[in-house]
Amino acid sequence: MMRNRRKLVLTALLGALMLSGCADNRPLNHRALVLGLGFAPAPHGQISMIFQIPTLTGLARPSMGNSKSGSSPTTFILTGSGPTAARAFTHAQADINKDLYLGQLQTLILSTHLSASQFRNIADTLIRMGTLDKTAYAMATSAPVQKVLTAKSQTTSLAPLYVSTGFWCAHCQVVDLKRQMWDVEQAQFAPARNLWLPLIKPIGVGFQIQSVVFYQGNRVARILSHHQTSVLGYVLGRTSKGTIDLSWHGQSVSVDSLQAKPRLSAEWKRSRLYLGVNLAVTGNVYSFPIPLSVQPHLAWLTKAVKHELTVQCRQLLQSLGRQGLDPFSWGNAYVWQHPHALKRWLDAYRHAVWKVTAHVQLRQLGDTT
Amino acid sequence: MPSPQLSGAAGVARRLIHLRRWLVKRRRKGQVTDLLRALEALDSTLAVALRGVRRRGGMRFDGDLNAARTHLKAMLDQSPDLIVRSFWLGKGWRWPALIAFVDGLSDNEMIDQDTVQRLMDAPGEDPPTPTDVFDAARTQLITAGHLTTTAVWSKIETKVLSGNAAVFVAGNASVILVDTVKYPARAIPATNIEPAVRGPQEAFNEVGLTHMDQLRRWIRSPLLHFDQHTVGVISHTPIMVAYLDGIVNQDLLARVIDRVEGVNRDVITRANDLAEYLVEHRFSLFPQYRLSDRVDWVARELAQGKIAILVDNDPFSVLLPMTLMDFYKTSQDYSVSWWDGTLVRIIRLVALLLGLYLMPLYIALTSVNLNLMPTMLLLTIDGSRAGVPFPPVAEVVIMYVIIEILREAANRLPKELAVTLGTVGAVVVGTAIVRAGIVDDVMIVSATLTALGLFTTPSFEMSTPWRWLFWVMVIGAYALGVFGILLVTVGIVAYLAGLEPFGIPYLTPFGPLRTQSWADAWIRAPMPNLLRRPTSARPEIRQAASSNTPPDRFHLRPPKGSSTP
Repeated sequence: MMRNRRKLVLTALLGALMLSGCADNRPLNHRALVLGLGFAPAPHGQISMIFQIPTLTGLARPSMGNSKSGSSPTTFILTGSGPTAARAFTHAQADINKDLYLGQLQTLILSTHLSASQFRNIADTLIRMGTLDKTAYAMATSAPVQKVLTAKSQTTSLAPLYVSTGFWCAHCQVVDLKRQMWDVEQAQFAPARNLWLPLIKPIGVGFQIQSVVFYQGNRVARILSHHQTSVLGYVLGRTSKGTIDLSWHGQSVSVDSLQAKPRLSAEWKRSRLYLGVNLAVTGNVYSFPIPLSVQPHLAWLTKAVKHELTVQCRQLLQSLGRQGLDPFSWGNAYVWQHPHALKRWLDAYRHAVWKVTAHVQLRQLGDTT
Repeated sequence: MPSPQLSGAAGVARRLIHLRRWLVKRRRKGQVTDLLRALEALDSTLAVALRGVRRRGGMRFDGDLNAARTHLKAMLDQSPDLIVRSFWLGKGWRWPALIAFVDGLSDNEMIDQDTVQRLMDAPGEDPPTPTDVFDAARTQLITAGHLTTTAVWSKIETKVLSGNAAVFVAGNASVILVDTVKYPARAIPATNIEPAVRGPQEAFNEVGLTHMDQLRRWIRSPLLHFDQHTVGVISHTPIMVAYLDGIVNQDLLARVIDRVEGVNRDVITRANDLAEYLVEHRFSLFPQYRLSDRVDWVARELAQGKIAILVDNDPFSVLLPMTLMDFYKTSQDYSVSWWDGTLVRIIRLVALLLGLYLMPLYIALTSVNLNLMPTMLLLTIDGSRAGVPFPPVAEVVIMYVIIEILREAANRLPKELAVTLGTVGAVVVGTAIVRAGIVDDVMIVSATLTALGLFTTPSFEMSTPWRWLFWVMVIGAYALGVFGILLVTVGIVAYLAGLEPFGIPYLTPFGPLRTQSWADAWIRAPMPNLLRRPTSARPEIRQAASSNTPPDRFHLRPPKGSSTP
């Protein structure tokens, strides 16, 4: 009895040890930490996989700016190509004597030139990678991916760390455009969900993130302009410090620190889909060109901001709707309840009637200049 | 000579043990195993008892002084410290007498002035009978405070070797044993094992009687009882079981005394020898008693309903029963403000967690679960490890072995040299080992924090289990990463939850939950709020103080007629 129990305990321990995968554990020394990972199309229909790995210089000074890190590069680029993402990974692995480790991945960059099948293959491979950090930030670029991964930044020697903390739209005020790897994965399993990713562009020193790419069926469907991205920020409630410039008898007036919280509603009326977005907007007014009593000009400003926002948001949403692009993932909820009604939904969504309303509340904070 | 019954019993026991071995060989243990095991214990008990009986013998003094002199000299094999002196008892009587004592253990002044001189100067002319002389010596002449009489040689030998003087009167078959005990003893020392910045500093010395005196000064109550026992068949080590009658749990006291009386060993020289006999879980890694040389602490623990065992020749007394929490309390916690006491206890807890988990987490996060580490920290560690040839686990082993070596070396050296060694270890070895590329900078930081964390445990006994378990954690972390650490933690907690030394749950007041005792656990509430004794020792009286509201506020007014506003 006792011997049997001992055997059982030993077997359980051995089984637990084998299942834990501890035999495959490799310490830090034997791993190449991949901080940035990019995918781009390669010649002959192949996929190019680009890895950004910190060098010893980069490891020694991860938090210093480029200017202080001297001339030696802080990262090196490893590239592998293959007909599939998995083969590309294997080729890249063969070129380095350390294990490529994706558990600390910071940034995933997807070229906008990838075909739908390549995109799907990449997404499938990423889903199956066990050690991959699913919280990595996902971005799209129309520039060469290698150029994005080798771009220098002003704030840190390791570009992905800078990118991961600077996800705001530079020319559309402060709009939080963070998208993560799991958003890419989710889109693969939800056909009614439209993936959108921020578009990153390398500049002389640093990066620009100022517009958004919409995907439809793993293919780029539309790239929004800066202004449209800014409006999308209000609609999605991702703007934290928006600004609207207005004109008062030829003089410029700006409303700052705008934030919007959307409330969505959808209903069917006579086989027609009516979609409603109600924005609760708050903002500050710091200065006004003509000294007036507070109430009249605040009322004017409130009305003007309300009008501006409702018009612009409705235009954007209608335009997206006509293309079948759904930033709110309404279709996802519908298809969840009606699994076989995707086509019906897409048809209804394209012809939906949009109603955008805004409740604006502004505060006069006085002139700070 | 041993009694034939004892020898017979031992023989029977031995035969039964042979029978058991025979049965075991044939795998026929059955129900007699328990009985045989008990007989085996009986056999070992009898073996020790018989050794004592054989030594003592059953001989008695018969009044023959020459035989007594020969016996005494034979007893210690002509040892120079045994003084045997013949003299004439009474100026007029000139009755032959003999005094024996051990030089160094007895008070020479008492022997010279209160015993020998008084006996030699005894008045009287007519020679009386031996009995009269003996009675006169016992009742009129010897002025020492404590006398006993006996004729049994074993008792005489033990008493003489304990510092008593034995007075033999020719022709009388009894011996007067005069209490002239005066051990050479250290002065009352200050404790340096359990130091405190504030509060009492008094420690026990090696003399058992002084232990009692010191405790009496702290608790001046008739409730303070000392039960004297002797352990060690050869060493005859006196021990005192100290407790507060009416407060200590009677069942607990009876159990402890039973266990003390059950100790059967040739020689007991120190408190720990005895304490290891008293605990149920002898192979447990966690201490179930605490050794303390602080008088104030022992007095405080007695007041909590605990039992202290004072062992002659050892300044450390055994305190029991103990819970895990008790090992994290110190005397200083009560000598400072309650805010301070609470803060240091929390720091001890944090230090324990740091000491136990920091290095295993380092291994887990750099060898197994790299994805759980914050990226910037991982990059920093990776950068600092550039060029280090060993994996993190080897670094940890190297560093911690060095720390343990330094610690042991510092313990063995005089205090002044130990400071130098610490400096050499910290600065020279630490710097050199990093420059040599054997370990990295981050490892030096975590090794230092680990060592500091584990050394903050106030009780020496309690630091040992954590130092052992640290290695188990390291193995768990290396094999299974964070999951391994959790697994080991669960194992430790489960084991501690099941540990009940002296019937007291080891994790109390946290498991089982006794929220009333939390006031004096990881926090130390103000003294007026500590109304009840902790439940851990199951005291007969829980209430330690009556409830006390803060005094009323008042304002001092200037005296009437004073010009001061």
